[in-house]
Amino acid sequence: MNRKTPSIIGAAVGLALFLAIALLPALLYGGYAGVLLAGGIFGTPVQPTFLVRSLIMFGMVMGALGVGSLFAVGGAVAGAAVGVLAETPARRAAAPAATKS
Amino acid sequence: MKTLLLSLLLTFPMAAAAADAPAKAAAPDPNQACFDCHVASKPGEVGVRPAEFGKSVHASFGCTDCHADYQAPGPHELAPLTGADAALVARSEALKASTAPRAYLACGNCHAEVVEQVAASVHGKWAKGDAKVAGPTCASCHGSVHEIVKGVATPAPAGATFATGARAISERCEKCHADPAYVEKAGLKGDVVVTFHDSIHGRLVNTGSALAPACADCHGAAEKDGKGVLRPNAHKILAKTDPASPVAGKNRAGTCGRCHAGANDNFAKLVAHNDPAHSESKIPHFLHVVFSWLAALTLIFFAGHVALDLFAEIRHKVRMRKAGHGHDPAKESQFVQRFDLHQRAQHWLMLVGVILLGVTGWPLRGAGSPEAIETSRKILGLFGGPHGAALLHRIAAVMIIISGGYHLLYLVLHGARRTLAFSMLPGPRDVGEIRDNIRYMLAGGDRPAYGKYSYLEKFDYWAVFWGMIMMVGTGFVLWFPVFFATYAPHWLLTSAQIIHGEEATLALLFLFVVHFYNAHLKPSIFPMNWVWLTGKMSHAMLEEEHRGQYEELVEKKKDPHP
Repeated sequence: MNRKTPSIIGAAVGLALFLAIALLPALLYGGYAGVLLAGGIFGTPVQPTFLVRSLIMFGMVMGALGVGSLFAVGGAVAGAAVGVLAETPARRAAAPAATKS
Repeated sequence: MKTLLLSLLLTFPMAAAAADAPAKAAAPDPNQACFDCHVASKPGEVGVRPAEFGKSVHASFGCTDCHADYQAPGPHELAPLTGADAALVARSEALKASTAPRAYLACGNCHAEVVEQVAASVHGKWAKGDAKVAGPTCASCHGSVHEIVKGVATPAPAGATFATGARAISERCEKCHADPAYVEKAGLKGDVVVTFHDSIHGRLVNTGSALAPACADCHGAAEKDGKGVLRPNAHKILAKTDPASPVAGKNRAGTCGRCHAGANDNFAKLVAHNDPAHSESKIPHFLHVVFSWLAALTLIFFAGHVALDLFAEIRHKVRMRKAGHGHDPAKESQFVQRFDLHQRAQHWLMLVGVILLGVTGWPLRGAGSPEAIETSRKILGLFGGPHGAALLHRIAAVMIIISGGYHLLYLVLHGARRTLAFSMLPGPRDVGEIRDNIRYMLAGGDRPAYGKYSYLEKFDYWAVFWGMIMMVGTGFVLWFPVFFATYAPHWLLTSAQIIHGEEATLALLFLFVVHFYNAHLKPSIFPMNWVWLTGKMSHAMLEEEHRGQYEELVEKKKDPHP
């Protein structure tokens, strides 16, 4: 069984969905995670220093990568599931034929 | 003839009524004479917007009901004020108040009881004594006096303790309390709005909870309503330093107890929206700093690791292609059993639980950021709002607890049968493999010949133990705060809040970025390592990812494809 193709298609769809609906929230949440970490490390209220800005940027990148990965892996799993479901009738049809031969 | 007379008698009044109807419909608006001169075209402009006034709670009022001393036609002269009213207007003008004090006086003509309450509250102090800035009048909170609408104080739904417009109310408080210039001038505490949004109450209010309290619900003096139930009075906000304030000293536990039955002083210390640095105990602040460093450094290290590995993977792929190495169909069609059904079931429970925890928990945490509030409301709305998400969050927590218990039982049973492999235990070999892998990623050469589990997989495994203890432990404290407040010191509760949030950030970003990359998304594995579903790994992948184990198997079986 080749599960790779439907999984890759699923991952691509997942990534497209991520870009369409989840990129901005992921950047926002990631950036906020950076703000919270900066608050713990450098103290509150958080001042816009270079290190704080860097940590917020890092948080944004991690947020986008994390949510993007979740969509990609989720899409790959969904793609594989669709692939298996699509393959099942063909396999069932092939099974009696193989028994007869 | 009789019929004709009867018809005339019946139709005449009807005709008269019909003729009267358009006259009534076209009856001139008694306010129209005023609107002829005093119409505003946009909010903030002096005058009235007739359409908005028509929708307001005062739509049935005539202009002169409030503007009692004015006589049409203009120009109008105001009757001079005397006594306290004159002093209030003079003070307001001296302090350059942004809202009209005369409107405040006019409101008092009908709402005398409310105006008295405001005058007795901290918000009425400025009108009576020395003040650096002008405080609020009715219009400051209720908006333009000509456009006051219902909605803020809509009755609470069944089971709710507070009015549904909690967010709208807190936004009105923020107009002054989040204005840095005003806060500085008035000598107010500067971070109250930030710390409120960062608190669990603030986040719940932001995401549309009908159960969470806004500012006035805790800071307003509680008074019994007609049914004898204590209700906060937003018109009677008392300063924290006022002994009668619901949040002053010994009153706090009772205020919390209005919603959290059994709340004691310990509990009241937990919910105060304060910076941990200003907590009574130094422990929460210390833990805040430690966990922030831990999360930041762990993520920076592993993000760097992922970046280096990606670079090494691409380099390896290019070299393999140049060297003409292709896939070996024989190795790709043969498999070794890596995980049994029990291990996979534990992982399925854990992954579903963790993802569910992430999607129901992080939006609430993210709602502390003003920019992310709407996103959080939409995401939590998918689960029926913040309280629906909270229920799912607890169900997911139970799932990961079952997974953890299942795994411990699995280990104990294997230990009893003496079949426990101990292959996950870290050892000196891992130190060498870390060094060799970093060298490989930076400079090329051969990837270390990992055994059954690489150091990354061992870190993944042991990190779950740490994460479970931290997240489940602190999660229970947050799930049953009144119970823990009864037996534990207050710093434990505050610390639990801090650790739960910081550890969630670390765990989710680590799992979704680092674990997903290593397990599924790196180029040599993409799109999926099927072992989490089938429990089997192809010989080709085993050779690539766990060459040490592959070589051991080959050696043991003397078979190129064991």
